[in-house]
Amino acid sequence: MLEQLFSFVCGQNPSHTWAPGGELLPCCERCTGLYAGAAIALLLQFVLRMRPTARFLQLHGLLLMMMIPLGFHWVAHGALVRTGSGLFFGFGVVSLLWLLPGGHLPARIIHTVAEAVRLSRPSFGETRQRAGKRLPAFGGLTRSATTARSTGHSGCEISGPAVRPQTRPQQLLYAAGLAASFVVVPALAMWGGRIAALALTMAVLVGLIGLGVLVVANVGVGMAWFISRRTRSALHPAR
Amino acid sequence: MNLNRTRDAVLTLIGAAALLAYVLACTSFSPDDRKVLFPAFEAATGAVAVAVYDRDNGSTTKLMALPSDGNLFRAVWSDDGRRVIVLSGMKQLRLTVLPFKTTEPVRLLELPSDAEGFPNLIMSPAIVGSRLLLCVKTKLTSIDMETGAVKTNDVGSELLLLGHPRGVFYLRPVDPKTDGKEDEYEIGRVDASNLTCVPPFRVPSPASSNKFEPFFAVSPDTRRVALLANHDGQQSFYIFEDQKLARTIPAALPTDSLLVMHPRFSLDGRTLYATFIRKASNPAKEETAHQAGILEVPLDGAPSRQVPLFTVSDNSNLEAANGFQLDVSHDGKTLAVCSTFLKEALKPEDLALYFVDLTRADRKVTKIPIAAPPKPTAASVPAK
Repeated sequence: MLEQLFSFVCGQNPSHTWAPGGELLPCCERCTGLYAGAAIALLLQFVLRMRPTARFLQLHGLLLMMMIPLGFHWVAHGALVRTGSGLFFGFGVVSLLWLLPGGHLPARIIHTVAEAVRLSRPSFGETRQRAGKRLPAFGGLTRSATTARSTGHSGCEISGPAVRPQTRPQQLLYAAGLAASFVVVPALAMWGGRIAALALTMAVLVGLIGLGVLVVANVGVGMAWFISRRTRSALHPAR
Repeated sequence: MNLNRTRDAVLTLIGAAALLAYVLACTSFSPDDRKVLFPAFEAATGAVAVAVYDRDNGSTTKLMALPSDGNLFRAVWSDDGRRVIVLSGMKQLRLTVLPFKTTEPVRLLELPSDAEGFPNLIMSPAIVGSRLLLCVKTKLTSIDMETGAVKTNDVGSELLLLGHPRGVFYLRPVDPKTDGKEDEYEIGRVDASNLTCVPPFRVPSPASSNKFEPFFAVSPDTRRVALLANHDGQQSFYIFEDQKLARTIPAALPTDSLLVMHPRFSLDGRTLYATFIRKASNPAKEETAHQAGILEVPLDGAPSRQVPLFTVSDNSNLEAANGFQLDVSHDGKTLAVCSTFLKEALKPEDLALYFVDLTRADRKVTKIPIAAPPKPTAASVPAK
């Protein structure tokens, strides 16, 4: 079943697939790196809530771009580099796809839906006055829709929970996680037995599901933004 | 804030596009089944040659002619379809790695086989990445086709190896002197990294092995194993599911005079295909005539189906029939078989590469003729 699932996203070239303990993994060496890396990156993002600073994004952009010379086979490489490049790519992709849904996805969605409902009501004046009191009740929102509008922001652009400042230990932990995964994943694939095969299979499955959820969440954020804009422009054509 | 949001949206789009491009690029690798390896003959000398048939334009390219002592050979694609691996030889086993879609040089390796014996080549060689696995007597041998490095491990008894997309499987009779019962077989996987046999399961052997090996096949999802064995003159498929005997399907009754070989599972694991040779239904004209073809055995109990392909006019050469193999295309829609191994028992027009279309109810057969080797002249026959 897993093999069939991964056949949609991986060529499953058997000559480029790890087989720890004689068990062929469900995806190729590079995809093993990508999905295992994505699983670890997601875990780190959930736990550490990394702030997307310019340096953080530049570094992850570099990790992402490493796939260009390796993926196009401009540089000769073997199984280890294939897995390593997949890992880096996984970290890069997760860091970019995490930006919009981020750590406050539920608050954004709840707020957007709430505002769409509010704006669709017929008595605009009263609702506008009450909205500012109501919306904070959804929890964690730092600014009400009314305030946002007065400052030039539309409701769905409201910020999420206050972003915690990134501490040095968090950054070090994230870097350590990245470095450790770069060592552990290829080591398990190369020297591991059947338990390692099971662990890697679970990791790539979690990574695949995680990336899928991230893509869907991004689409959700985009759709919520689009619906909100459409609703507002329909109700306030002059604005 | 707006700037940050725009930046995030753009970066998210870049991330999503990169992921999409990666997935599209990775899934673009797929065996396309457009090129088929088969044994042919050199027009000038009649020597056996390794040839490739291109199904797109119907052309045949001969890749390599084998030396005169190389009349025993197996040719197989590497996993990535970029090389053709040819095993040949009679006393000394040679391994030739022919580049197909690459510019790398041809690699020729002499394998240490003469002192130890000769590997069982009745089934196609098992390949894991860049390594070829063979079992020579009790020694499981791995040959790195890039470096030529050879690794061996004594596994106690001779293994019959089966290459499979999910690894290499083996079959061997259990030694009753150790801890096994008589007439038991052991089926398991080969750990290619350290050349050991990993958790096997034992099957009560219904087989009394005759001159033909007990063949076995593993389904694509590895849940099912089929053992084709002969018991009291009756060949049957013993189907094991999750390591337990699930059903027994007679391949042929003794009265059928049907010889079944080389089973393969369909893509969904619900049907077995095998090659067969049986006495022709109308042997009046040729007393020793035999019919060769494909046997299709549904595992749900539905009746088997025979797809006849060609007639074998002389049974003196049926020993060579164990080379009469079939292969299933990666999309599971086509079967390919070749009659070259029975060349001396065939009419020239039956010497061909056959494709059986499994998508059609009438199992349409396409025949690609193979040029017969020139008949030996008096001058070419060596004086005794």
